Amino acid sequence: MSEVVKYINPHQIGLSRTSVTNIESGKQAVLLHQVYDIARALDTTVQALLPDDKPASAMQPSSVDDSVPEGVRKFLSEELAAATRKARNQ
Amino acid sequence: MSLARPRYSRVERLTDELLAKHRVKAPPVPVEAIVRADEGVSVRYSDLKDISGLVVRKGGNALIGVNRMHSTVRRRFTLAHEFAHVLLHEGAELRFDKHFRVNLRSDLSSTGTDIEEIEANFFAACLLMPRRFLDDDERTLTIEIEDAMAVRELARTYAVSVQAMSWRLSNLYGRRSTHVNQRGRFAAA
Repeated sequence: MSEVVKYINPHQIGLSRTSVTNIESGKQAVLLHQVYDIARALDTTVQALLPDDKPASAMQPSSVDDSVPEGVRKFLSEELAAATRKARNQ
Repeated sequence: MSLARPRYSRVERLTDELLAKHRVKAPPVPVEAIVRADEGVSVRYSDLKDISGLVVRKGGNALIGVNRMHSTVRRRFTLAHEFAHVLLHEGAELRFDKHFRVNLRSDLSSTGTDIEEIEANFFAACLLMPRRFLDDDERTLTIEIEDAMAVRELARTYAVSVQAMSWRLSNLYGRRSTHVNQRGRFAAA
């Protein structure tokens, strides 16, 4: 069931109730400006509405700086590469 | 969470539960199978240079990295040590260990990090060299810790390093085992 229509008035963003439901379930494509409208109506950011652009299986810490030893950084980049490969093959 | 002192009883209870759950009846303990049976944990062996092991956590999952250039016995200890961090030490997204000071056991003047390391080493020792197995092993009844050959034999049975076995024996059987403490602290080579 649609979650978004519970929180916004579809007409406020120039879409029908059905369109919003279909967009949310993936049955209908969404235009970029509509994504911005939806985010604004939900009082959130566009980023928050979009899935992470990194594969979910990639185990990566949020920050890796120079204090992290070379062996660890190498491990993390290999891990990211492997997870990306895996995601692409799915 | 900052620990005031190592939770020895809790750690040993945890390793006993794992051994019971996996029906481990005799050494060597299948540490890799035990770790991999934990659904939230994956293991990868890699050349980590001067690092023995590491843990990356994300969204309830953990990835353990083990230095594949190290010997089998050391990799087993590393894996158990990192698994302990996963089970016992919440928080840090990324944690890596250079080499473990296995004999770090003075509870006084230890920092919180030291205490976590002590717990992880104790966990590894309890998992790989369960007290019950050693108590039941007739070789430990008569062992002289100075007898390097005898310790090496035991170490081979448990698939651990001679140093790790010496340390474990001295902790379990105390004064009977003396040569171990001469060097103070050492790496689990």
